[in-house]
Amino acid sequence: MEKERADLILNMGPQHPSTHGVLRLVLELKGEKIVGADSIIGYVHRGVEKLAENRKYMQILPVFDRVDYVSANTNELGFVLAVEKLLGIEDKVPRRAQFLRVIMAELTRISSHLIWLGTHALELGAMSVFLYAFREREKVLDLFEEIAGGRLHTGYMRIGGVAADATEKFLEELNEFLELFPLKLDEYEDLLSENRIWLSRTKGVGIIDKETAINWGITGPTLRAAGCDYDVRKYYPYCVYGEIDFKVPVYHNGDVYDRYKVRMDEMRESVKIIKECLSKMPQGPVQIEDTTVILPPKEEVYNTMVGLIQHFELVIHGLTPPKGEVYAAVEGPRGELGYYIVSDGTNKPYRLRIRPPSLINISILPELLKGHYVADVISIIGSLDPLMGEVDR
Amino acid sequence: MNLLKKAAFTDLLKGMKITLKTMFKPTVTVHYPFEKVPPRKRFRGIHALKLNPDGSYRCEACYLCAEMCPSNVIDMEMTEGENGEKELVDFTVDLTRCLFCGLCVEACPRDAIVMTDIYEFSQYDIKKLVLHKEDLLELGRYYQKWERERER
Amino acid sequence: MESFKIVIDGKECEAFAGDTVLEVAERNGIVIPVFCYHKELRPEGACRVCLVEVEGAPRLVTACTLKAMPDMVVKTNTERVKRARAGVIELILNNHTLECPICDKSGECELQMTGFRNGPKKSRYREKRREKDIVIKGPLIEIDNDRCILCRRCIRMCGENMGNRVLGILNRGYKAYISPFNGDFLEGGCEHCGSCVDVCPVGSLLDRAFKYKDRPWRMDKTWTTCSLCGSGCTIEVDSYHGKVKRVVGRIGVNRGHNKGYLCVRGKWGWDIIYSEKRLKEPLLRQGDSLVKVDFEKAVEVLKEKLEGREVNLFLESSLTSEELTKIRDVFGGKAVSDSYGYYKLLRGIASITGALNTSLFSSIYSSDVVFVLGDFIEEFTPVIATLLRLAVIQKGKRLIRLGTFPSKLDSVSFSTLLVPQEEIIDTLKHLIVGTFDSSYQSGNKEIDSVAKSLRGKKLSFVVGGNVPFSVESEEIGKTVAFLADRAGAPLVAIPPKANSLKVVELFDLVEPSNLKGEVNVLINCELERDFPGVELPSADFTVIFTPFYTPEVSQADLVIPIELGLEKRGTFKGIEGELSLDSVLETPFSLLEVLKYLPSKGISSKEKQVPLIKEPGKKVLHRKRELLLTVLPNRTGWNSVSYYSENVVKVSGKRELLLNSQELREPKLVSLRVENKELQVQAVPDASVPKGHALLRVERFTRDISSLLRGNFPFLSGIKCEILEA
Repeated sequence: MEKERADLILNMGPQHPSTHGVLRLVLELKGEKIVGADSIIGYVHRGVEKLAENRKYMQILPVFDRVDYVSANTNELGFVLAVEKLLGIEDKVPRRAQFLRVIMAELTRISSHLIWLGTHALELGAMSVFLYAFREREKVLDLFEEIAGGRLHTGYMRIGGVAADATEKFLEELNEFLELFPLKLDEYEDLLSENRIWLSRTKGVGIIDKETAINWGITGPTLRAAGCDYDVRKYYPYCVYGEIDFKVPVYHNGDVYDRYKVRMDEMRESVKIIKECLSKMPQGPVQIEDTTVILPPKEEVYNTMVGLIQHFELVIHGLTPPKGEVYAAVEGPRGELGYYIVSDGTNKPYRLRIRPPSLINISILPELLKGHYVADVISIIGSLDPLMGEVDR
Repeated sequence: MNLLKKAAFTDLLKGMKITLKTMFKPTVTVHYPFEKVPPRKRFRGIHALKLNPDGSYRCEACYLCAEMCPSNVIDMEMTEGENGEKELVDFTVDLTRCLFCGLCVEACPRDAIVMTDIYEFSQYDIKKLVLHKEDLLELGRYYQKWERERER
Repeated sequence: MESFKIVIDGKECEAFAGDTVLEVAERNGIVIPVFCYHKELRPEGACRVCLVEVEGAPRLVTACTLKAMPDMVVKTNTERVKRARAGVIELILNNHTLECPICDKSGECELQMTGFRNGPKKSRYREKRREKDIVIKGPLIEIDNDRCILCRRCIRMCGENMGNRVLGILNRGYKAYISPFNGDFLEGGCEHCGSCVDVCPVGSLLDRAFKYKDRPWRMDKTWTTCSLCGSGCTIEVDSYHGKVKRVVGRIGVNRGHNKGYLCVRGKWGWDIIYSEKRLKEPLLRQGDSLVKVDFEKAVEVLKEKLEGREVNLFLESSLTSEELTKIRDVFGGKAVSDSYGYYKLLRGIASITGALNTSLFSSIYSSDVVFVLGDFIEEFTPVIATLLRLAVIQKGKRLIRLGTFPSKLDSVSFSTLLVPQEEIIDTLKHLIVGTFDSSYQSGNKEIDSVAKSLRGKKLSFVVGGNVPFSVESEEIGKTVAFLADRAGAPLVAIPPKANSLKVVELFDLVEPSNLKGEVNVLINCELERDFPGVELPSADFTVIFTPFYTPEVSQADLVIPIELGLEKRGTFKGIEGELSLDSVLETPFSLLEVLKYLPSKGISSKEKQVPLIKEPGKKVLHRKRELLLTVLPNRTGWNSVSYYSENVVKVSGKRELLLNSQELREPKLVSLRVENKELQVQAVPDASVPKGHALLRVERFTRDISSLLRGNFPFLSGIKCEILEA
């Protein structure tokens, strides 16, 4: 088929408020219609994978907080799981830590989806949803601050457990939040789900059918909106997801509206997962007993020689996994977030590769945009929910 | 039915109702520079060096924090003191590079380096963002006061 | 050698008679943790960490002392072994002080590493720790007994391998601690070789120059060659951000021929780089004073002054081969060098062998008997003396030494021939005949018995120490080479300076009186130190290339700073062939950089021809009533270290004249007379000095020593002298 001739080439981004970061699009227009598009990425490339090669396993965590900077916990969790798999200690991590990890991951999903909801609605003209969504997100960040000390870059996961046990106050506030949040979700849906402007901007826009989505390797809510129920949590359960009863929301139209619905349903499911975790979570330690993996407790370091030398060796030389290659993935808010580590038996990874769901999801963008109007670009980008920090790494 | 709904603007009115309801609720925001939300107990602000009860500093210049730091924030200088004991000459924390991950605190084997609750440290001069031993000890005094209050 | 099989952890390993289980395991990549065992030391079995299970044995056995036997089945990783190990380590750790944060060893501490891998997971001990609180501070070594785990590595190293027996254990049982004799290193006779510091598995023995200076894990490690004597030791230089923090030998890890053994110069002399007397800018004479000039100006002046003139070249022999080649290219091939004495020795050897060269030092390891000729090898090239000692202790070689003065090597030598200095050549001639003729009677029983033990053996010869500085060096060279030639044995002539061999190869070395040039060029040398007894010839212009403010700087017209050995990249021609230098340090000035701007003279290299004579040397030393003087700089006094290193100066000795105790009853001030020059010096009676000899020990060469030795260059030994009442 002969390509339609473009009348105008429009540059959109990288400093455009609705490109979710620094995504640059070069749109070829015929009238209002897009006949060709090219996306240009790389504006926030920080060489995270290379940085990881030069850091000891324990030092890498804070760096990965900043890959997908709105969902630090799932980033960390994926990496931690990969290293634990490499060390062969997945089963030895205490159960309480596993539950805490799931709670944190699901809270992260909520906070990430809330950001998406707020900004996406704002871009499509609904100002108040933005305010309400950020109001609830603030509560989640407060929870993070209470348990981990950081609001965005929590730094909560550790290889072999989590940094610290949950405080009383955290559990109290979490319960409060879980009671309140579903009501708030209803409010958002009241504001948007039937709103005629919202519907006309989202229904039938940016349709990705099931086959295309699978062929492009798309994962996460975008895939599930197209009718495929792939979810890492269900297919390859990690932590304690295997024991928890939850549904994976699936819609079949594959348009912007369905992606919105999937994410809204996911937040509800997250609340349920957290509730179940809280009821099942046992008491006990939150870090593995093996002191060749995790820093010994401070009490030991201050008072005993055994603890002190373990501490010194671990800090100076770090943990040394055996030679090997490993892949571990988690279901991040944006899709399957995978970590592939090649270890050469030293204290630093020989190669570390991240499978960034955002990058793979937006790679369909040039194809998807064809035939749409310029105004729909915003709606489509928003619905794919890319995070440029993760795209460029 | 659908047409009727559409004609009656029920979808929009539903939204308006929520907006109206929220208008009469108390505000959740704070007026930032005038009001502040106190940070939580585990908050990771800028660094401080703790002191012993007798006023000497606890740091023994073991470089573990510097070794653990993922972005080379910390550097220090040491020397042999007059009585042959280890003496810390300078301890620098370069806040321009700090990630506030808290690994240095975890790495400290003497409970010397800690993180305060201070999160406002903007400066006009970039050099002032490099904290030296004296600044850190001053912050340590502040931290210990805060710690005592927190415990209470 | 016949080998047999043993099984370790299910793996069949080859073992030889005499091997311990630990050695076999190590060869086959099976790691058994150790504390007291060290590759270079005799196994002791003190720490009990290397416990293994042997099939058939009721108890666990220490692998380091267990000799491998045919069909032995050893298990190193069973639960029982692991529990026993963890228990031993737990007990060691219980009383260890919690000083990792301030200990300079942490990061490369064997207790940390082994404790981390094989120790208990948690400590059960909550009682009070034992605090011995005994810190012994020497000038360069400090012992902190709280950290000591009593593995006795330092004691074995000091007593057996180095032969000094300075360190020992005081008290018994719970109160035992390590201490030098009388608690004082200098009084105990410590040579400050630093080997005890090197082998200490924990931070108990410390390098005081490095104390609290940096942390081991974060320094850049560079392997280079020490340039401070002819031993050519491989050393590891640890630096951080371009500043040297320490030098370590890493005994057991070091791949050089010195196996990691160092001496006080190599271990502690690195601080000459940061000496206050280091020259930082070129200086040019203007009127009566020297003023600082920039590099371009200095090169310009130098170029102008050198144009078309002949130079008097004074060379020190620790320059790299690359620098020497360039120097010859620029200044011509005629030079006065401190290797002149060594050149004479080599010339003597070459008259028999035909080549101005020496065999590799490692050739002694393939012989059965090592014949050593020379005194004070442990002062001139300390590490060579250590290696000769180790050849006896570890490799079972027989050592036979011929000399005048007693030496530390005598304690391990099979036999020692001590003869007056003038009789050395005669003794050698007796040996030449006696070694090959069993019926020969020299009239001296000792010589006959030595000749007998040389007879029919696989021999190797080592000539070193004071021989290159002896009046008879050329004749001794001929004689010993004749003997070696007849025996078909390798002959190692140990160079006194790092690159003496290359200097001899490249330059025509001449007497200082033969220099008739118009420009004096001094490279890396100091007249009094390197050319005692030589005066600077009068010339129009004097250029000095030196790293330091030497005494000659005041007489110079142009002074150009250069770098030191640790700051260079290049090669040496040493006794183990080509030795390479590497460095991460950066210097503003470099000798090669300056020479690059000077025009080349285009001298073609030619092989030096020495006429073959094939005859033993002739005795040249005859005396009547005079004493034979040997001037011996202390171990520290031979190089720039004694002049500019703050560390080494702490342990340098003092000046004294040692005389036989029969010739001198009590210490007193005397006047030493050489020809018509006199020197007032404190004389001390010493039983080890043979009759008819005088030994002048100096901490360094100074002007008065230089003027005493006037006209004797390059000789320091065998100089006729008289002792007069002061």
